[in-house]
Amino acid sequence: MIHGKTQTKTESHGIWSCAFLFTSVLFCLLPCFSVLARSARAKNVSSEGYNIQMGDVNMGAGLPTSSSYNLGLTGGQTAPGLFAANGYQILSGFWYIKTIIPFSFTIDNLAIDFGTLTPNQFSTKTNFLTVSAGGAGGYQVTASESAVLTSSGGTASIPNTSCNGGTNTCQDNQAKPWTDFSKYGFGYNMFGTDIPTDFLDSTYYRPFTASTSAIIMSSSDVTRNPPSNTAGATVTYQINISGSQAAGDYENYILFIATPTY
Amino acid sequence: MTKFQFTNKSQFSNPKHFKLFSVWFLVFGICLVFGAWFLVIPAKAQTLSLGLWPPILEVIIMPGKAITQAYTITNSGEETIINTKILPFEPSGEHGNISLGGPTSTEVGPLQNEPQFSFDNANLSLGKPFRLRSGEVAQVILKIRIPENCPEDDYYDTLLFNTPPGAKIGQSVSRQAGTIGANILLTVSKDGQPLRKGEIIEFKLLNCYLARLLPFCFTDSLSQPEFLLRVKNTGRAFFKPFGEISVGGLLGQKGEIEILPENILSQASRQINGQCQTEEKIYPCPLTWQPKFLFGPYRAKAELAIGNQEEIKISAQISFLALPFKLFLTVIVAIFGLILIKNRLRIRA
Repeated sequence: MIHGKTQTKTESHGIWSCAFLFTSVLFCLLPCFSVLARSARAKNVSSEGYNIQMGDVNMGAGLPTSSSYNLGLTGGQTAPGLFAANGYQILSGFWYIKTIIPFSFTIDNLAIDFGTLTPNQFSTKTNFLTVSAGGAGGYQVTASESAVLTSSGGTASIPNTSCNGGTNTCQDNQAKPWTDFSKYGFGYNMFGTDIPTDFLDSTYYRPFTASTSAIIMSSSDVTRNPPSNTAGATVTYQINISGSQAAGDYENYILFIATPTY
Repeated sequence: MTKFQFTNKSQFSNPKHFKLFSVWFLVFGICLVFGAWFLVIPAKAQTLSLGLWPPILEVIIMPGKAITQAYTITNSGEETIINTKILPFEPSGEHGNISLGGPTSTEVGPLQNEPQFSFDNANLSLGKPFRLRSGEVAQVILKIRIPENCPEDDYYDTLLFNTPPGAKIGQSVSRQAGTIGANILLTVSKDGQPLRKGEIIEFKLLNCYLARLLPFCFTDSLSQPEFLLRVKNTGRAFFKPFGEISVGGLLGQKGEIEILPENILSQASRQINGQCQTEEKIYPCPLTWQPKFLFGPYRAKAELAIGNQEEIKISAQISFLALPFKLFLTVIVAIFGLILIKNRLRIRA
C-alpha cells in the first residue's frame, strides 16, 4: 500500500514537474513573444496609418471648410462666382496629381557615433535618407549644422573640412576630393538618387555650414521612380583630426529639411 | 510526505530532482539569452519617418475672412516630439524649390495687418511641441485669418513639423534632426481678380546647332526638337500658365506640346515642363516634339493663358531649319572611306 501510494505520488510529482517546467519556459519566452508581437504591431500600424489617412481625407478631414473646394476643378484659377459667394477659394494638393499619397521623409539613424577618433585617419559613418514625393510635384532636402563639432565643455572644436585644399578646396555648395590624411575637419559625401552633380564619386566631400542650408537632394519629376516615387541617398560623414586635437567628447547636430516644390 | 516538496533543501540530494532542476535552469538560461537578444535589437538606431498631406495649399481669399485646412501628419518611425512653426519662403531657382527665411511667425508674431496663423485643435497650439507615438496619425487644423486691413498681395509660407535631434549615444557624435514642410500660397484679393501679369523671358530650341555661327537655328532631321520655355510672373499674384507649343513646317507637318500648368510665384520665373499623360496620371516631362523625320523650315509658337478664364495671353515664336546633316555627314564619311579603301587596293594591285 505504502509502495503504491509512493508510486501515485511520483506520478503526480511528474505531472507537477512538467507543469512547472512548461510554466517556466512560457514565462521565459514571454518577453520574446512580447517583442515579436510589438514589431508586428508597428508594421500593421504603419500600414493602417496609410489606409486611415486615405480614409480620413476622403471623409472630409483633409478637406477645407469651403463648399467651393474641388480638387482640380479650376486648376488654380479663380472661379469668380465661387469666390464671390464664399470670400475664398482653396485648392489642396497638386491639381494634376490625382493621389493623396503623403509627402514623406525618413532618416534611418538619428545619431552618428564615430566612437574614439584616431588622429590622421579618416573615420566615416553613414545614414540613409528617403523621400517619397508621390503626392507632391517635386521636392528638395536641405542640410545645415547647428555649429562645428564642439567638445562638451565648449573649449575645443573640430573645424569643417575644406577638403584637399588649393584647387580642391570644397565649399558648402561645391564638393571636392578629400583624400589627404593631413587635411583635418568634418564633412559629408552623398550617393544615390537626386543628389547634387558635384559629388562625382565617394572621395568628393562638402562641409556643412550653420549659416546656410545646402540642397543635398532635389527633383522636379515626381513620377521618375514609379510606382513608389521614392528617392533615397546615403550620406557619408567623415572626420579626420590632427594629433594635437584636444581629447574630449565632441558633438553637433545636422538639420535636414524636406519640402515639396510649389 | 516531505520527500516530494521542492522547498525542502534535502530534495537536491535526490538525483531526479537535481536533473529536473538542471533542465529547468538550462531552458531558463537559453530563453533569457534569446529574450535579451530580441530586446536589444529594436534599440539599435533611432529613426525618423514623417508623412504629410496636403503638400501644398493654394488659397485666394478676401480680407476679413478666415479658413481652416486639415493637415494629416503620420509618424511611421519611433515616438517623437513634434515642434511646429510657420516660416515665410521665397522661390529658389526655376524648378519650384523654396528658400526658407525670415523670422518665424510663431517666434515674433506676424504683423497685425498680415495673415494670422493658428491651430484650431483643442489640444494643439502652433509653436508648442506635441508628442506623436509610433504609427500615430495626427490631424492638425490650421486656421488662416486675414485681417480686414491686410494689403492685397501674395503671401508665401511653409508649415513646418520638426523633430528634436536624436539622443546622444557614444563619444564623438553628430546627431540628426528632421523637418518636413508643406507650402502655403496665399493671395489676398478683394474681388478674386488679382492682377496677373507675365512674360515669356526665354523660348529656344535646345538641340540647336551652329547657333553662334548662323543667324538661324539649325537642327538635325533625325533629332527630336526639345524646347526651353521660361516664364516670369511680373504681377502681384501667383498663376498657372495653361497652353501649348505648336510647331508647324512648310510641308504641312504639325505638332503640339502641351505644357504642365505649374505655379509661378509673383516676381519669380520658372522653367516650364511639358505635360505627359498615361491612363492613370499626368506628369511633368521635357518639352519635346517627337516627329519621325524633319525637313525644311519650321516655326514654333508658345501660347499661354495666365489670367482668369484665359483672358490674358502671352506668346513667343521661334523659327528653325531642319536638315539631315548627320545623315549627310555619314554618307560623306562613308564615300571617303570607300575611296580610300579603293585607292589602297589599287596601290597594292
